[in-house]
Amino acid sequence: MSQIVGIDLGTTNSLIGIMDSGFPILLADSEGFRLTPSTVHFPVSGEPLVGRPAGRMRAISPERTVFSVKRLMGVRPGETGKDNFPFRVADAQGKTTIVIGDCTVTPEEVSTIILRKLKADAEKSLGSSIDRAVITVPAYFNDLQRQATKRAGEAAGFTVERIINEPTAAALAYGLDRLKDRAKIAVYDLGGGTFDISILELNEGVFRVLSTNGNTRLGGDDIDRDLVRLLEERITARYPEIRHELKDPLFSARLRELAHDAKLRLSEENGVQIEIPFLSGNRRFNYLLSRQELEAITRPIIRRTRSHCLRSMDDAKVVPRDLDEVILVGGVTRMPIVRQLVAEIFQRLPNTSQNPDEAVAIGATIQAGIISGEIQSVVLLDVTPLSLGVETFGGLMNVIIPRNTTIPCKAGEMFTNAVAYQRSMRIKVLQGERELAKDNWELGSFEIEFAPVPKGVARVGIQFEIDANGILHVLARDISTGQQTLLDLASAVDVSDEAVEQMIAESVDHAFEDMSERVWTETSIKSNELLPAVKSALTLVGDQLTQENRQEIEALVKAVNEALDNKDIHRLKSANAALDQGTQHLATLLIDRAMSEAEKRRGG
Amino acid sequence: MIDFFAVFGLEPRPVIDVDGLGDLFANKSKTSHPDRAVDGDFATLNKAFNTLRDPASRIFHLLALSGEEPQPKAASAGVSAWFGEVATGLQQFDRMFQPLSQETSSLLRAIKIREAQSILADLEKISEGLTYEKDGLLKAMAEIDAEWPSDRAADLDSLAQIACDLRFLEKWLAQISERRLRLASIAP
Repeated sequence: MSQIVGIDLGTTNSLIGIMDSGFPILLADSEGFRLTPSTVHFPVSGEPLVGRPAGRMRAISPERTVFSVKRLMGVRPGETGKDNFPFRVADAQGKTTIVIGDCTVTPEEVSTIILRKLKADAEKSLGSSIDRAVITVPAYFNDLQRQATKRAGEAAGFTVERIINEPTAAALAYGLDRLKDRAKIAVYDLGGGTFDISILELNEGVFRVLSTNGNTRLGGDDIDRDLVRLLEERITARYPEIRHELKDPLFSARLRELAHDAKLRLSEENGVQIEIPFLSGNRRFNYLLSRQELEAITRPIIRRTRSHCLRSMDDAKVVPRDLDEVILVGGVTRMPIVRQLVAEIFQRLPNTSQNPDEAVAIGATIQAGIISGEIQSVVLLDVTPLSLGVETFGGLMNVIIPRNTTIPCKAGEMFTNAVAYQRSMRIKVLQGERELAKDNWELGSFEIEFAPVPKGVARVGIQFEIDANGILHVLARDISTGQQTLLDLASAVDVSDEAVEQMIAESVDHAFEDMSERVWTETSIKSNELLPAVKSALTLVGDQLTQENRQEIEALVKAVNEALDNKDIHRLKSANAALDQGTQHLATLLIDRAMSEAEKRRGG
Repeated sequence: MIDFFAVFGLEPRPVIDVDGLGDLFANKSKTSHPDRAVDGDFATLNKAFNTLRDPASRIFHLLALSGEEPQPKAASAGVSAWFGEVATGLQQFDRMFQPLSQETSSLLRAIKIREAQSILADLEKISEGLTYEKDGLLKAMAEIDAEWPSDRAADLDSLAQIACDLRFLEKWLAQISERRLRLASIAP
């Protein structure tokens, strides 16, 4: 049997590795690098370019060069969020597609092209063919995203032996030479597009994941996007007349590249000179971007990881002092500000012994070694990141397999007819943590057939199985024969058309409402909420304000009151905004006070 | 029916060493995980582990093994007495939190965070009470365990009641903890 490779199919870069006499090693691509950019360029004619050659096309032909496609994997149109890609993302009959000229490709197909390149380059350097692979995914990927990744691997000519979670893979890379240890570790994995946090227990070669949490749409790309926005603002501040030229796709792509490079350099340096010599005509743009400015942008993005960390500790029933190490992986964790915030969350200095770009691929390769039998002493027990359930009467989610259950696992559920002589029932399968069915991901639905009998007599057992890849299988068991049949989940896309139409209909209804009346009401409600808030805040912490600050706030309050009296909508809007802005410091004081009050309550 | 205690070579009883169970689970996984064995029944091992580590489901399993069909009982009077307080506290918090999570003005946000924190403080007090209640139940379980094996029907009945009460308490504790996390996720 051929060897198994380990692949990290990353948002920004992909890597491939193989076991070599008992050790995981990474292979260089045909350009000589272990990190292959996950970028594909589609020329007007001819074969697509992949990796570094495609990366060079990003600034030259942005609308035909696809990157960060992982953020679109298994994602339905409408869920694509605020990503602003230079290539066109469209909705083709309920499926997310990318439009290149007259053609379309799916995110899955783009991933297949990347995987094919990894495969071909690895075969070239090994001198033998490989057709089995372990591929990594973010731990917080749902069933649809995992299936899309698996299909991409199969289309590239691999037998996908395992889909493995990235932070778990990184834990394998960390723990392989510490097999005698008994320890609890957290893996904080912040990559280009996704964030995962996993907590594991290492015990004599058994790697048991206790909990995992994350966000599949949070990563370094978000920092790049906000940094581009900042640079655009700086440019328009200097040259307001070329505002419209900034939207040019070629320019955007160039700016994005400059921003990304500056971000990387600011992990080492305190300031980076950004230079655009031929901005427009003979205008040139020079700007010294400081690490502080970058950190101001980065901080709110990284703060969003905090709640996920708290949740995963809560689920694992650990507190920071129970952890022996916090391992950092993912390129973004090179940023000093990230390390600092992680240290605050876990109350310890994070462990940076792992190469943040390579640990996941090394781990995937180790898992390949475990499956092939080359590594005997290690076993990995992973969990399902999201609760699995079905929609019950009243639109609620009934959890069948709770999140953080060790996989592979199975759970049975008995369904019975609710009405006499009912012949069938449609069951919606959901994944997520929300109480209402509609707030969770719908994985699909299946039909149960009943015999025509009185109410409550028909009984069909349904078995839900989550395999070692975290992928769901649904089986129906005939109680009388014990025969099991695998059920196909009908794609949820067909079902949601109706919901989409409904949403469109509603938005049209709203459009005909009297807009000006509504805007006035909303704005004045806001004022009537703000004014008493300012008053009570002044009573509580007003003594900590400077005289000028206090007078300024009082003047702003007066402006709001006047605008209210005059029923002047435009003035009221700007007065509200000014009061909002002017009470920032007051808000900070109030938060500080609330924090110390909470602290006191905990202490006493 | 599979005896989940026997899966780990344990004697069926109300109280077990849960940390030791984790070690047993890890050890047995080495031979039954699909990566290691073709025919190992990992799903059963997994289910046995998840059943035994949770006190309430462990008791329900124990009762089922002893042939007692555990009746789905209502919570005891002592535990039901908490229901009103828990429900009111959770509702108050949710009413506060919903507008807070969408608030854009920093001052209004600060004010609302402060209010939510004081509601949460009330919930934390309730949580303490629930934990105290839970500790009492676990102690009662340990007392029955000390006399184990017991064939007194009264003991089995009390175990069923304890398991049922634990389920309620744990659900409420989890709901309060969820609110704590929600607030922590938006407060600085």
